[in-house]
Amino acid sequence: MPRPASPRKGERSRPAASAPVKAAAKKTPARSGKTTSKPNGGLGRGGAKPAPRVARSTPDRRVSEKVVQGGRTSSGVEPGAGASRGKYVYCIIESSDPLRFGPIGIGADPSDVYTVHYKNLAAVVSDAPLEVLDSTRENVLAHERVNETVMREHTVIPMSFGTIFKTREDIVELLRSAAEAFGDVLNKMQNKLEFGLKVLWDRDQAVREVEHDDEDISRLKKEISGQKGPTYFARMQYGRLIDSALQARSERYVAEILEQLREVSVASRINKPIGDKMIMNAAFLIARDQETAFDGKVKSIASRFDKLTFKYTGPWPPYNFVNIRLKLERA
Amino acid sequence: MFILDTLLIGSLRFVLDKVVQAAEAEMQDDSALRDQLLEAQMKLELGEITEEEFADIERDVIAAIRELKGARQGPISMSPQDKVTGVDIQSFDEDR
Repeated sequence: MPRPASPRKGERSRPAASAPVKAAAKKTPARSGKTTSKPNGGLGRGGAKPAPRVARSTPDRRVSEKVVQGGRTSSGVEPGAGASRGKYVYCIIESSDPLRFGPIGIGADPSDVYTVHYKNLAAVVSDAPLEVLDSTRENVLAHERVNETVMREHTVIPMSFGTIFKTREDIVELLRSAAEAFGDVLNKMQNKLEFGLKVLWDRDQAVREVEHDDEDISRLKKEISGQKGPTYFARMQYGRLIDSALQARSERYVAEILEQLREVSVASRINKPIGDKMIMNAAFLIARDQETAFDGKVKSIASRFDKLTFKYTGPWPPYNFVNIRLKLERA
Repeated sequence: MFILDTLLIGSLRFVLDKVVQAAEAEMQDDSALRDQLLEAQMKLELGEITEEEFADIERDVIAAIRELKGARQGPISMSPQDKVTGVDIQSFDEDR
């Protein structure tokens, strides 16, 4: 499913409903994908108080771990060859045939993206200078653009941003030494896609709701505004009550949303919210044949929680659901 | 572009056996800076800052990260004497 480039450098936002945000109300059919939701002025710019954080662990991402012993010294590498050019690696796929993905590589002058093979495994790479790449938006998007292209037809194990090998032989050695592990992960990730769902709220509005709904808080507020010089203590107490009420409320929202999505996802992961308006920052692993169901569920949740803003993105490679750490030993 | 964070620390990555601890400590070191970058990206997406403002922030933060990390993180070579001594895989559990 080819996706046209979006106005803002290839981001994939799936539009979900969102009440306070006018622009987000334009619902594009999910399959056409790629609308970047418009900037909005609707969100309140909260005061200095930090929003409640919903940083919790990942209950349903039980970790299965195994250690594969690999290693043996590699075949030789011609010294001096490509001294200043390395190979940037985007992802690992299963393919015995050499593939080319066109000039979409990372860097100011996009180089050709192609594959390096070991048996039925392939690393998707492009030639790049042997230097540290900054994690600028542009570079990260370039990395992502390649993975997005590759994953249209392949199951991918995405590489972390910024991995550069010196030579082709190094990459072959990598594939060889961890072949079994890569094969297992590729099998496990077959026909699975990752989606991101971020939920933001208007903190000022949430405060008003809490003041309205919570008797203690509304009474305290009246006391404070009624007095000439409200006591320091009353203000402190008010602040604490507000904070914990907001925390409880956002946790309730998040729990409800996660519960709804549980049945249409394979796994989920909660990441740390970004900034003080975000109450949920989650990634979901979805089976391809559940994509429509997941999509529908997100839309119905978004219309039900019409005071929250939903940012729904994907499909991504399974960044949040694969974590491979290779231990290298330097001779 | 909210995936920056997981893109930098998730998925497939390499650690040198002897310096695993150091590498992980380093991740902690610049996590505050990476958070700044993420937050700026979010503000850009929400239209709270302009492309120009974002570019300014990005330039500063990237410079700070560079300074912090120095040139320690170079390209990866596995040859000819280096070897993979182990592969740790963490993935989701399908039965929950």
